Amino acid sequence: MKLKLFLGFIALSFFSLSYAGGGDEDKLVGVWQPSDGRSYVKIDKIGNKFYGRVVWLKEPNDEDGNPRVDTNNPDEALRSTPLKGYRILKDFIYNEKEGIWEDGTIYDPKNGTTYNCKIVLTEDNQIEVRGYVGTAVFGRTDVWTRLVKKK
Amino acid sequence: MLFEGANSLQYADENQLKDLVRTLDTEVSAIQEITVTKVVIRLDDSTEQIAESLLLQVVSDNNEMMTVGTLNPIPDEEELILSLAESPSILSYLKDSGTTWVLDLNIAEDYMDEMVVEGKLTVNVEYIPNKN
Repeated sequence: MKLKLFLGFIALSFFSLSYAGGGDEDKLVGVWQPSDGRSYVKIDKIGNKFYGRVVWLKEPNDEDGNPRVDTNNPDEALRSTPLKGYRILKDFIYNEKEGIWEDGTIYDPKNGTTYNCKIVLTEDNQIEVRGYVGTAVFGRTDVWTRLVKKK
Repeated sequence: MLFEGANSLQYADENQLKDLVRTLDTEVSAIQEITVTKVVIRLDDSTEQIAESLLLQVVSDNNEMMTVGTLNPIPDEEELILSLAESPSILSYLKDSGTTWVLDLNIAEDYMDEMVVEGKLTVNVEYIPNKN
């Protein structure tokens, strides 16, 4: 069977992300601080999944004063991507029955490794983020705290 | 309004594959592969002045989010050509429902308006030609 090759074009028109939620699954949306206090991660909903981006870094620049980039990414073409703004949480789906966000991944820029991940809301403003390889039994859990406006 | 720092823009479209198929006068089942070969992003003057970096990704209901390309820093040019990830294949995304393109954009200062950014993908489409 002989295949033909066609050069095509796809137009894209991007708009600012708008979001209006309110159900249990949307309790994950917000800005969270991992336990080491060195970053803030903003979690948004895109389509029916949840994603988290680094929106603040305690040390945004490297030793030379340049913005830190993803130097350990296994894909060499993506190593110039800045860590500030990096989407480290991807593809979480809410499991309504168990009340957890699962089937997602977390990326560790320190070693360029992506782990399976699930998230549990333990209090209104606290989540447990568990990264693991293979089965969730073998992994590490970090407690993240939601940033809330002071009244 | 967008705040200084990390922001996301998105574009949802479930007709992109149908449009390509119509152009080729063939069927969806005849499409064997679609690979992105070039991504051009156009920023208007006000956005270009504050934009620091770009990262293009695609996601759909049954596919994980995939990085397509990135650009950092942003040169002073009208057409911004992204550095592509290794052979980004998008056929499974275009076949799926909920196809959404996500453009992560770092900006140096607050942007007080709705932001709209235009882009164009060049793709290689491998397909089985119609026998007629």
